[in-house]
Amino acid sequence: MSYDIIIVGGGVVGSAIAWELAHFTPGVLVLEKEGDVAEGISKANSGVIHAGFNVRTGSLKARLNIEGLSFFPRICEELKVPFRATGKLVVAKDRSELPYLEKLLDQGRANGSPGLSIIDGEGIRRIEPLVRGSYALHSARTAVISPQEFTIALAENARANGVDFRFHAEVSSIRKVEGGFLASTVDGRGFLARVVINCAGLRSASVHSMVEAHDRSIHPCRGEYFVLDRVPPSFLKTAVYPVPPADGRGLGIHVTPTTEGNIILGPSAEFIDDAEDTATTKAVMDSLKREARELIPELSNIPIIRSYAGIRPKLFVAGGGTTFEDFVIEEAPGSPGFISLVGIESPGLTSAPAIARHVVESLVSRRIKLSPREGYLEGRRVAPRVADLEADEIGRAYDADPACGELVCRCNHVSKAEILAALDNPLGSRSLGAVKKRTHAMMGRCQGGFCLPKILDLMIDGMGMSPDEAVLNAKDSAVVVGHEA
Amino acid sequence: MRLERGCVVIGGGPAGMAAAIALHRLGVRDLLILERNDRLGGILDQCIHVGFGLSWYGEDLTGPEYASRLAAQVADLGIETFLGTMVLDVARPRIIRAMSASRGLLEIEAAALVVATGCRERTRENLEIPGTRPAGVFTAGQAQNLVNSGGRRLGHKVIIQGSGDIGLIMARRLSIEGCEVAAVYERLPWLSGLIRNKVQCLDHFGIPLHFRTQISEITGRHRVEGVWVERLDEDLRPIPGTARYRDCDTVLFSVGLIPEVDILKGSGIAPGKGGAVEVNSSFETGEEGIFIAGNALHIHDLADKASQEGEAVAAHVASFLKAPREHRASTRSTPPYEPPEADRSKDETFFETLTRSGKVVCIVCPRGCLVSETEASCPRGAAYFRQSRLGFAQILTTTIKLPGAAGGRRLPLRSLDPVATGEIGEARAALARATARAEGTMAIKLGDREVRFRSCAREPGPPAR
Repeated sequence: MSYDIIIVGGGVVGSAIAWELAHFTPGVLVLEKEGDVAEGISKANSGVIHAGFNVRTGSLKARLNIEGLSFFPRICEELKVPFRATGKLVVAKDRSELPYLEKLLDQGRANGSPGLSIIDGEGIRRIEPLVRGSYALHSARTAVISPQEFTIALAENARANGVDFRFHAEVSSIRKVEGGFLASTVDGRGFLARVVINCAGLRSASVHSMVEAHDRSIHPCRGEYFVLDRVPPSFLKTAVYPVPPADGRGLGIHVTPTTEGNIILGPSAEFIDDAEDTATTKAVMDSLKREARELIPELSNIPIIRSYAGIRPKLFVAGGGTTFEDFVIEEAPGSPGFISLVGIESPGLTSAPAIARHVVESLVSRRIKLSPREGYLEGRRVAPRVADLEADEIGRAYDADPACGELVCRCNHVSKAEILAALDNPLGSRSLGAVKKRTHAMMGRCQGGFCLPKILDLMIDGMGMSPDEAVLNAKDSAVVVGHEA
Repeated sequence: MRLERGCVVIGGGPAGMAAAIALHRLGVRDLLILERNDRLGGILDQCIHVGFGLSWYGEDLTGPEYASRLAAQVADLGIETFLGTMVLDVARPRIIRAMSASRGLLEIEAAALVVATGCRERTRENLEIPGTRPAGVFTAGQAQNLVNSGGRRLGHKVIIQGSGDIGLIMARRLSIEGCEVAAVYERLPWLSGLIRNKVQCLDHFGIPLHFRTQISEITGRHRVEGVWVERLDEDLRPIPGTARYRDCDTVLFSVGLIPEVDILKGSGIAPGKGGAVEVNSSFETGEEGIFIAGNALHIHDLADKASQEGEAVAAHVASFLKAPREHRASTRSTPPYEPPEADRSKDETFFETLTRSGKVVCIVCPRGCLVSETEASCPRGAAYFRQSRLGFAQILTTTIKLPGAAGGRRLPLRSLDPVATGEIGEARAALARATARAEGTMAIKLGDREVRFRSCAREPGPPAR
């Protein structure tokens, strides 16, 4: 099969590039090793849309962060992705930590980061009555999204505009051939393209090595999180970060409200050997709780409903400094048409739309003529989210589809209509995980205790999937192993 | 749709139905049950085992049979019931917002409210058990629903954390279905469920129970591959060096139930520690006219007790509806309701002593009396002791495929005579060959005797209105 462009990796960066390219005519294929988009780094992070004061002035990270931030409200509105303007507080325990805040403020202003100010303890309490601390840097423009929903929205719109997605398609080799590249997947298929864009996240360094040698390596750095039960918005509206502990002790984790009204605690930072080891650990879990409760003691009253871990792709460059490496976004010097993105870690989510614009306008356009796609379909069709609707809207949604009245997930109020729409998603990704990421069913306090069997019924009895296909996420993650005889 | 009702019962399970039936008998006719499932019964439908109804009906029934009886009474009395209706929240004063597939959004103003919404299960995540998050980790009740209501097969080798009743029941259920249940671990030094269930669900099947032991980590990237298990000391702290790896592909958690009263948050009623809402001795919350019954109030070990509580609450609700002011005056200074204490007596020492005593635990009823040649608290207990000398046998409950049933739906079935543990494989094979009928009894041959089974199919139930 032959395309103009192959994107390796369906994380937020790959999906954002696919979405950007979907506005133009070239034929695009996304190869993703898992069964859905947003299954790697983009599946498990904080979902914070950063204001850009935390990155080194003059870096690519700073530029793309500030630019990406400005794109978010519009994209989220177009693609119907919940966007919560939380703001952010970086909290200093006492005066001794004030210089750190001033440094951040200066760096933020130099970067062009909007909406920053330093406030005192009273100012903190006016914004967040429960937060301890003497001073804080307040960032009015910081926001949160669901990184999974955002990635899915980009990919689903791209799909609606003709981009192909192939799942369970791990790339095993990329060969230079006449007029471009041949990307082969582990199942023995080959795909030709004039341009290959490496968005392989944790595997970006090794995918780059398939085409040419380089001196970069990715070191997986695990971050563990806790998810707390939903709280009323008055409990916590703002993402709250401590000044990172100067003695290097402690994790410096933050406390962040989510778009669904939960709170997440985390992440830790621990270099690990296995890029897929997303296990959580007792030691880190204990620290997460302790540190979060130092910032907001009342957190101990909120039940923990889930833990998870994500992996950061920490970039190391041979001979380089280890504390800061900028995003690598380049056309490989010896391989025209191979565009490589390596080490896209925080603020990668915020930067993704700007990265996509940059890659398409500055790198892809050099190799491929980009004409606007006629009849580009804007927006995204989503089932009405019952949980977010006002009474009159619920009435209209129900009149249009009575399945909106049948609530399957009792904790998060997800309707059967939403579940069925998620199972019928444009990417063709059918799993419990796909439903979970798209609807938030099974993500409430009972963790699917009541709704998982109902959703399995919809998959197996309703859609005729075999029990083997009714997986949690990966191919060999079937939840039930069959039927009773 | 906006409605007004004298009394609304939220939840049509054992407590809610009993409350509604009792309210009707007490003359309350402006009465409505809201049930989220498509038929009345609540969690009873998935509880295909026997042990229900001994005190409420004086008979040993399965969960579906018990539900059928209550539902039939509700239908006979003509009590208005909205099925497939999930309450979203309750706002002050007693304004219920609910969603239903057949009616859309409902707003119901109630003069009195009985909250009988049951409970949910504590999860692996609530216990903060580290490790991976693969397929194959279930709560016991979730597993029960998948197996009994969905006809699903969960896995091959199972480990269960927690000695709660549902976990014990599922250890037996999965053994009957041919899974290997390797062990049950209990963090505490005492049994959490009923002793009868330990005997008939674990001992009869040779499944070991380990006290002061817990799963400390779950492994397996996509599907469970095993668990690490550690021993705990007197203060329930892990003992270093005791961690052992146990392979399995399925893990069940039966680690406690939490009253589910989240719909009340908007009324300013907040649960305290452990998830329970404080009520006064007439089961009324701090909000006037809002009463709680059943597992939504505190966790009952038997459905019969939830029904009895529903009935008791109904009397208070009726008196409130009749004369709210007098009711208020009489209950203002009553002490808060104290749920019964958990039984902690069935601990390691108890079981050691029991083994040496030569007595056996009678499993005829949930009381779980100790009986011997010379001691028994009732004739049935004495008979049980004599029978127990001959080997383990009990009423076999299982499900079979019903010809023409949609999806994985199966017919719950119970034997009318005890079946020995060693005969279960044969009985299952014979049942698989037999043609199931939704009604009545059927017989299979076990060796040279005939064992009769009774269908526990639910009645169609009151038509959705």
